[in-house]
Amino acid sequence: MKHDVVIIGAGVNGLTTAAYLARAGRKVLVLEQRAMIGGLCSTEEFHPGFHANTCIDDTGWIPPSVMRDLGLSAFGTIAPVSMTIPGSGNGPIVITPDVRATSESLKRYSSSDAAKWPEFCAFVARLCGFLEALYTVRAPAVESTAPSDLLTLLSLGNKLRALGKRGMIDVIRTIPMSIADVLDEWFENETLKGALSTLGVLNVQHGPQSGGTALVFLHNHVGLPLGAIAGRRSAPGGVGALPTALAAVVAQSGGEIRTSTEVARIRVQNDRVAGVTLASGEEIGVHTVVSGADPRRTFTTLCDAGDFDPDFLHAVDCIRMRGPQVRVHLALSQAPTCGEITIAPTMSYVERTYDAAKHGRVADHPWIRVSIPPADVSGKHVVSLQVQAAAYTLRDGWTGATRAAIGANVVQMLEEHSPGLTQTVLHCEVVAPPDIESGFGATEGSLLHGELTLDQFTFARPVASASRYASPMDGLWVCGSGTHPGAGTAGISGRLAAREILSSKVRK
Amino acid sequence: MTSHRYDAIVIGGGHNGLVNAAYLARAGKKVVVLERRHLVGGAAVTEEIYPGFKYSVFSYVVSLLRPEIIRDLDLPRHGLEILPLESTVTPMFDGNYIAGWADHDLTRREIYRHSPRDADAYDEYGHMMHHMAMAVKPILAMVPPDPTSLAPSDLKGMLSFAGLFRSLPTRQFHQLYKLMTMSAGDYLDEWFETDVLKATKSASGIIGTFMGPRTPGSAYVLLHHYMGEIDGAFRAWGFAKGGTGAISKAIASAAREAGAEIRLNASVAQVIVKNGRATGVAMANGDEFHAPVVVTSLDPKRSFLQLIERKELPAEFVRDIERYKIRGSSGKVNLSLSELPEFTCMPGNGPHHRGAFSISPTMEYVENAYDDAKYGDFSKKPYMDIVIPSMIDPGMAPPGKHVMSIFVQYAPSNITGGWNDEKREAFGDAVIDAVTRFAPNFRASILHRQVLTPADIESITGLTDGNIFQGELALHQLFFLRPAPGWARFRAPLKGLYQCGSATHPGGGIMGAGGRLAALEILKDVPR
Repeated sequence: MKHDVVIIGAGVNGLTTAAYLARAGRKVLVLEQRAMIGGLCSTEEFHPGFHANTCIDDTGWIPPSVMRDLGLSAFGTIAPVSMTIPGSGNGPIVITPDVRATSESLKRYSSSDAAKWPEFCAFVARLCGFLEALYTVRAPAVESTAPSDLLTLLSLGNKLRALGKRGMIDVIRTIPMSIADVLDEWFENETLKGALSTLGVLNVQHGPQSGGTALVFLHNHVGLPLGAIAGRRSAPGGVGALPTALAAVVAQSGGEIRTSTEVARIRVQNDRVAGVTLASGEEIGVHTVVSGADPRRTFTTLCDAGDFDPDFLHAVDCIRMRGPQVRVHLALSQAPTCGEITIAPTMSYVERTYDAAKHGRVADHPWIRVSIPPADVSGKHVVSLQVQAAAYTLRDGWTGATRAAIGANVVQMLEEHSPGLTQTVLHCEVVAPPDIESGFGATEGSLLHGELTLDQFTFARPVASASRYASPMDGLWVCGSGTHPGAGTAGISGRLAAREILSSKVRK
Repeated sequence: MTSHRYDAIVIGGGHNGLVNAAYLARAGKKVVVLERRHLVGGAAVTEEIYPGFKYSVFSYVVSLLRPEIIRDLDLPRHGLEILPLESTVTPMFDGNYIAGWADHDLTRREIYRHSPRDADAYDEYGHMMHHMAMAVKPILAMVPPDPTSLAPSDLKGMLSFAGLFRSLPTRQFHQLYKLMTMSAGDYLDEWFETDVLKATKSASGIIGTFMGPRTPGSAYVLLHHYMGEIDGAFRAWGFAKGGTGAISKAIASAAREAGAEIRLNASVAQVIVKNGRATGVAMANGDEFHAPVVVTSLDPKRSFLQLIERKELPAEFVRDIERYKIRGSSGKVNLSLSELPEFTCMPGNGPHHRGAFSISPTMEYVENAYDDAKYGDFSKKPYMDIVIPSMIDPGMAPPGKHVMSIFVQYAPSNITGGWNDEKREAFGDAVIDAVTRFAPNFRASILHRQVLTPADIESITGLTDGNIFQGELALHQLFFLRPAPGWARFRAPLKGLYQCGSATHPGGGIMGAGGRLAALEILKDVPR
């Protein structure tokens, strides 16, 4: 066989796995169905001459270990962009990693919130510190009695204890809470709470009042420096710069990447992986296949149902994917006057956008986070928006008119903050959950490859029997965002998956 | 001013307070229970609001009452008789219905009518829930250990707690994890396809909580309610002969027999604190009761924020109690009827009238009911659990007439603008409209109606915000976090002060576990 390992998908985790395996001497072949690498972490031309981050604006947390191993230190120095909240009368609330400056900005609205801000930042950092420890090791096997598993549990337990009595309670108590309850415990200003609550429901079909959204909020802060609440790590050159850097590592280590190469099927012989069949009909024989695709697609679309136990397939079918995110990219003839604002005036407002999704409607008033890519990325004037407005499944279905209405609505909402913007729109590109599914292969348009909620977390991600990257099929592994620790962390699951693969006794 | 001296004072004569007093009295302690109202029971009372018509005013069914309490206190001898509640019928909008009967196989036949696949799944679901409930059951009798403590007793407790989970087969462990973290709706989606079946089943995940069937956390409440169904004493939900108040009366009788004194119309104004310890209580009328042990069965907001001066308690504890979530979400409508309701889906009178009716025709119906409440209004089309006690226990209403108990969700305690008479009546009307939609003769059959909003529940029983569980059964308020981290072992951060209400582990429902466990803890601290 020409290759030792085939990796499906040249997204961040697929490439990270490839890089680690190639550096360990495996002959690696990465197959990407799209014409370019990067998957959901791509920066593309959406209108002639205009570029934007197609799906996500944040490269996510790249832990120091991955950065060091793969020489990605350039990505470690990115100063996170935080959040600007248009205030109600007294000017905007600007959240930056500078805790004192943020406090000052809050003072105009609430002296109590301003006073609590530094403590809140420390609270988030403390809890995230524990999650970081949890995220850099493989998912704990809670029911296992193997010494190595007990050691992992013990060391996590010690990490928890190190937080002290109150810190420990804070972790245990906060994780299952709703972000609305958490924010109500800290703050009084509705504007601040509304905007912050979006971090608790980002990319999941939930409202701020749903239990477990506090975990989502914390997850979205993992790896960020103290005070960088709602921070976003936007790489110079756009998020696509990260997969490009990873691809270079793969190539240097002798790995091969083929784009425009769609895998149609994972072939199984004698109850183990025998290779992949491409959409073109070409067959590639290999004993190890690592899928960076989401778990639903990996196990139900790329494999035959007969290859797995029905219980396993049922568990895979039960994974909640539910992408609620719509992306809108505007090509403009001149720069907008608004900055990178977040429009989510109250927690009830955010809750109502969830109600719409829950009942299969498009929200009349979606919550929006604006990002303005720098000129070196966009080429020209571009505004990119995260719009949490809808659900993958709409009662009336997704049509061109649905997309156009969302685009028009969003432009109108922005007009209020950037007067005259409407006249400058040259093109409005709406990327809805079904488009994310068809364009990137992400089931139900889930940018997370499955909701990152408590029930789909660590040892239950993507499903209990595949939480350590090995699947029930000999030779088939998963490494994407749908695995522990999940989307929003860059390269961790790739690194951990590669380590599991290298330590397993697989046939080359 | 009169002064009285006892070994222990129990504040509140609800079922937990009474259980607590009974256990303390049986251990030879001189105990007094102080109840503000003219009758015992708290939220477990039967009252003849209209002549001849007896209402289980608040709590109306029982299943969770701990069998060891029934045994220890010999409650049947004190008059406790549980009559089975046979069935649940859910009328649907199209004139069809789905029913659950006491007979498992009959229920499967009924489900088969809607979906052969679900009829199969129902078997497996039943087994799984049974295993889950069996696995969790020992926790009900456990004193929660403190996970932050390195004391041997806490470490031992944590080990046995963890052991409980680790002893489960892998598949069951993961199912239990799902139950602890998911929404009832999502969990049931994994099992069934019939919408009305899921809507009816998910309802037990929302009862008493401010959650919708799609809110994560509601699957645990489903399990919490399921636990009663498998306990040895009675197989299913039951109805106490004489109404729910009969349970309280039986416990009170057992307590009295053991030597406890129960004082009615005795309203506690304050816990007396001397030199950092609780030494008794001062009554609204100026009397004082003194004892080295003071046990409160009230909810923690009332106990620690109203009956005790803040300066006597650690600031961190007070903050935790302030943060304790206790939103009221349910209302109650009690009716006297001239005739039985005739449901379009099941014409005529029949055995189904001896069971419950669930107004949960679709998942969306229940979720919409929740949506109304989320934004500060009562549900225009509410979810309801209806029983006709006079069909089970004829003594509840005069011959030829009936009483009906309607548990309603959602009625938020924090309704926009606050509750008033007008809103109460509008809420009552919405309830009657929603039932009449399925039983056309219903509206005309009503002789008397008693509508209870969370504000009414609070003013009558004293339950803060009218929350029937004395605080939400949410993951962050269970076990060692109930009601506050570090204070889940029935003690309070004041020497001599204990807590035993539903706000303690294991939580709400007529369980009595808090009352019993608290008594056992007190007896460890106080020499017999």
